[in-house]
Amino acid sequence: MYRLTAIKQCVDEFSLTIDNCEFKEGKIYAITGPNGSGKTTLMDILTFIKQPTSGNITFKNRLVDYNDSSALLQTRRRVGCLMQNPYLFNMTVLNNVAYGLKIRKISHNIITEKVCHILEQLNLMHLASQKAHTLSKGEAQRVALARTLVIDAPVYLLDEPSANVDKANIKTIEETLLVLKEKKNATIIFSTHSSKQAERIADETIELDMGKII
Amino acid sequence: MSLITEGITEAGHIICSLDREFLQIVGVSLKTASISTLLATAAGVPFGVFLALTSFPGRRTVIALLHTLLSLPTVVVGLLVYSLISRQGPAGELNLLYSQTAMIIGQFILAFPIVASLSVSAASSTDSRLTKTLKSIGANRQQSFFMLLNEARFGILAAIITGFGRVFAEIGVSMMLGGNIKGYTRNITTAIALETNKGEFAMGFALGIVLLSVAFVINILLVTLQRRSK
Repeated sequence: MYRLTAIKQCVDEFSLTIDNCEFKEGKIYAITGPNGSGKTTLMDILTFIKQPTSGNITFKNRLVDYNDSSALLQTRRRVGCLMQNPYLFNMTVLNNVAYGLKIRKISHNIITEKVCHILEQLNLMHLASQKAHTLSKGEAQRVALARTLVIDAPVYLLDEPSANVDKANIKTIEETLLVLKEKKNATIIFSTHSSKQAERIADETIELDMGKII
Repeated sequence: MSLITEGITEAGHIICSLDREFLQIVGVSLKTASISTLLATAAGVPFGVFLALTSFPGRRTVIALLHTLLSLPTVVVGLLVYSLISRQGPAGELNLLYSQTAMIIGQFILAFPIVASLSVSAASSTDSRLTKTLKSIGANRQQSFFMLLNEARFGILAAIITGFGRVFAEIGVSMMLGGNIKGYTRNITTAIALETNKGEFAMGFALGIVLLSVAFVINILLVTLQRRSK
């Protein structure tokens, strides 16, 4: 799915260095490490939001060309992405979750079906008509996750998907991710502070420290 | 004192009887101010959002210039446009002087910097995570632009309303470019000036009440929008 070669990303005085790293199809990867170890920087590179200072990324056997904005947008659309501390638009939960599908010009009926399905799966149906800014942090996190997972993508990048979420809902999220992997053969890459969560659902764990894989 | 009370009583009579001349004057004000604000919105909002989203050399200078133009005196705009569209001016052949079109051009020049600079502020004050979120969801530039408009909608609406308030209450441009022609370019502010000079306070008060009412409605709208945006 992904191959990272000689990647270097410099952000102020911090630098992330990855000599060689591969993410395979249909696997769940956990990226762990302390604060400031480079987890979010790596996530930003994998979502193609930030261009690495140097190095190459191959996605689905194609070298990512950052100079071709149209191709880059299409590549970005094949990745479901949940940001750390996600932002919800000033609209209802339903419209927030449907947004990614609407901009992909998916028909109204399919959008309704998919949105209802993911909201039910993540126990969010009762919040569907609620305005996003009225939600608690945990609810907002789950809505942002629903907005990410509702998109049919071969790969999902989730930056701390269970941050601010209570134990019962963490279990629901983990089950949803495992179902995605089993049924759709999706690749899931998530960052977490919890080594136990990594052990529970990840096939492989990548540990970062001071901007390097250890 | 009796001058004021009599004037206000007579003004009430003019408003209640829907005097034809009175309605015509209010109609001209509403028409020119609405069209000029609409044009300023069409040009100023995209320009403001563009300035907020992009970075290029000279961007800060452009924003500073817009802010300077906020306090542009109406008579200076009147003078500038007059020099362009008067017979001796480069656009004299178009015969625009003393027309509603000339008033709209002048009012557009007044409203544009207001709408544009307040749109810059509205778009800049959206959450810093918005742009990254839109990128991560896969929105293209156009889709990002419209979502940003949606997120900054209260601030942008406030910009448009402020622009309308400015041109609805201005007099310099209307007087110099419209010429205060009865039944054609005479609007609320030029009519008030004329009626006061004539000593006809009743019509002046009636029109003043309309002007104040519009200002009041505009302020109510702005306060409501500010509350909603929080």
